[in-house]
Amino acid sequence: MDPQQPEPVSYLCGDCGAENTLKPGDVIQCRECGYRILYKKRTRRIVQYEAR
Amino acid sequence: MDRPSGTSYQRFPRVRIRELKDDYAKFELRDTDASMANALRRVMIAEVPTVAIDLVEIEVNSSVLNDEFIAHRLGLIPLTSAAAMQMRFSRDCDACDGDGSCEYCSVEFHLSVHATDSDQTLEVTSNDLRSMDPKVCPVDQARAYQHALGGTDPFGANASNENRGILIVKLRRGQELRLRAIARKGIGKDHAKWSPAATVTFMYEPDIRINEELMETLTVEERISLIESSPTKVFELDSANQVNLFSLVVVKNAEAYTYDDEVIKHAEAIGKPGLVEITAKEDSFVFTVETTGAITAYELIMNAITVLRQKLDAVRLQDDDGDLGELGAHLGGP
Amino acid sequence: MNAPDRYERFVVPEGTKKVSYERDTKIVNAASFTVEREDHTVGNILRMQLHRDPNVLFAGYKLPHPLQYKIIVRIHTTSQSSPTQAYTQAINDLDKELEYLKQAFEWFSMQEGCAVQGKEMISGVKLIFCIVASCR
Repeated sequence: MDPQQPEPVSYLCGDCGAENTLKPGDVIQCRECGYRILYKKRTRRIVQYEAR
Repeated sequence: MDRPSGTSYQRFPRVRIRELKDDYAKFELRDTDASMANALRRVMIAEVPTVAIDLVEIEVNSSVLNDEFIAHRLGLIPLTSAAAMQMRFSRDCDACDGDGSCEYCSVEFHLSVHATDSDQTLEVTSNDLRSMDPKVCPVDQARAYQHALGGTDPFGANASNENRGILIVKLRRGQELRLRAIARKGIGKDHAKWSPAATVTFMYEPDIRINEELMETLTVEERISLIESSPTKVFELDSANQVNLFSLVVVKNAEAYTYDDEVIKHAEAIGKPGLVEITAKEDSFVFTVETTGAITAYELIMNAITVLRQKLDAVRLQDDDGDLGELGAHLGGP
Repeated sequence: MNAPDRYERFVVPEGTKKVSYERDTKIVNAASFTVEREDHTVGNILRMQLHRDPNVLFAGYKLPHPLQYKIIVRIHTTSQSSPTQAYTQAINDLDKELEYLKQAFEWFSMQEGCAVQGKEMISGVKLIFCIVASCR
């Protein structure tokens, strides 16, 4: 396990939708278009719901 | 058990089925109490078991609707539940390893749709739900299959030949929906998705008597206005039956009467009270039963009677007031 | 927030008896039966059946509170019978009536198949004849 957060996390650009992998301490900016708002992806865990 | 005297005070109800289709039944029930009619109605709506999706595991959802919204919609899809009476409730099932989803008490469904290349909006419908058990599937899938086999089309000539299924969500290019759903047995009392009944109604059969002597004193216009005063067509002028060259007013359809008393008020207004007397027969009922398609109307009625008997059986006094009561308590509901 | 779970309406919890009864200390041949997790469906039908028994002087049911899922059936009888006897007899009679109703439906649908066209078949009477005929 990395001492500083395991696995680089990938985020989606708000403008062009490209995937950007960011490590802690990186500048928050899309690598392709320079947009500064990035969204986190949906969790990989399977979520359960009651159909009610 | 029975008392030594052995007299029974049961009633002997009579039945006459008027119409019976796959999802619709109309029948008359006579010589029984309103409490029995109402109990049957309540049981048909709330306590006849069916199968419906109860648990949804969503892997991917990039559609415009959020996860629980889609889960809710999936729950409301009617599934063919002919096997429901034989299935066990998940909470009572001892075969599964505690998670309530073994083959005896549940049915698994998969749905996987990805709008890859269409510029058009892709509609995710109940046809995309794949069942692990072919006996339990969305009702319109079963209907389309029947229709394809050459059976009678219950909708008649209903425009589009392809059955598109019940719409769940619409996807744009690039959006995806992937999930796994588990359907379980349940009753309407728990959640309305498990109710197999669309509508169940019963009415008292009306007893309509026309006072012939008073009727003869009416002119033709008065007779016509009397007939028109009823919002539903209950009476008509019978030209075949004529007395003094005036057509008699006869009852065309007694059951169209909705107990609105308009005819009686009209008769009083023209100064002839007692012209028409309408009473409700206290032990004669006309039932209209319509189902969602999960089970047939006939099955619904028979299952309702079975479930009502099971409920009454559960409510018996145990022979000893002590231990055996625990057993009855554990078995609980239907 | 305070609403009970939906399954509470019909699942009897562990340790609770489905039916329990208390005799009335002040009146002879009178008792109250508490039926857990039932509602008007069973209460009303039981009450109307009890009324048909001439030995029952008083029969009534109530739901003490709409959020408490139980009914209380109160029965007074003459000395010819007892509340437990009347209760059991009423349930037996209802069971027989439902069995009769079920057979009436089955008999009717056997005769007609689908789509009945207004024929006046009084299925109950014919059923009696069938049963009588098969017993003799």
